[in-house]
Amino acid sequence: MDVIRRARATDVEALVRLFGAPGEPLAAALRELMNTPHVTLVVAEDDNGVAGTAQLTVLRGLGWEGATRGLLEGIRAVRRGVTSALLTWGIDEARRRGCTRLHLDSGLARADLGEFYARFGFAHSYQGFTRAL
Amino acid sequence: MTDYTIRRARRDDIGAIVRMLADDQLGATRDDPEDLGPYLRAFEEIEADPNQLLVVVAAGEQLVGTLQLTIIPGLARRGALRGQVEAVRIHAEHRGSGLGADLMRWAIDESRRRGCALVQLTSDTSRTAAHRFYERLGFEPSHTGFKLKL
Repeated sequence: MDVIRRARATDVEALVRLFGAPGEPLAAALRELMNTPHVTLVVAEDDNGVAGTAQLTVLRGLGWEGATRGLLEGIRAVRRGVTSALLTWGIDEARRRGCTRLHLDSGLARADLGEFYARFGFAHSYQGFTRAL
Repeated sequence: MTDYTIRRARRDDIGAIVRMLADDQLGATRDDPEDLGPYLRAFEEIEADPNQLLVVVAAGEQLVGTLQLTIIPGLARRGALRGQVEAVRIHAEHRGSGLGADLMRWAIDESRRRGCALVQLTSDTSRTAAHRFYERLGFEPSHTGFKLKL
């Protein structure tokens, strides 16, 4: 991986490809992400251009003595090696920003990802729930 | 049923909130209401962020519940905004009264009002009673959560 850098407005086409989503809502979400202080959106670049993306959200809560924790999500990559680079970036960046814990979610059916994340030190510890509005 | 109101937390609520966080099977091992310094600093940061909302349930003078709601943008799901619910606690003397469900419904409504397409939360795998509670409120187990201690 050549570089991991903050996403820019001009990355929208590459992000549309990575997410397989329509451009307009994604462009609006990209603007929102770039303007949200507790969110860092990055892209990974190699010789062929943008090869992956990840979002780190850093939040403060009252629990755990007012601890700061990170949420690493929205990871999309063209190959496993890029995912590894983005996970390493997320862990380093979360530590640098004073997080005491880093959370990572994956779909329920992706048992293989659990083993992959374990190599980075992640342990399965909670159940995620969602409710559509 | 006692009358109560749900409102934004204030600085002088922090002691009562931390006591609720600590009065819990998991919180008891990690939260200590004796020294409020770190909690007050966290509160100031939450208070300064328009995307984060710490609320309390007040029954007269007494605080009987709390919850933190964070609005998070993202690229997944066509760039949907999400409401993330955390640190849900109901005072021990007020559990089983429907208050927790009312507080969660408040968080769902507030997320909708702020334009979110979904509400998400995570719950420690050991909290099986809480999992049933969230499912009754329309939440579905949708992802597996991993954690790394830094």
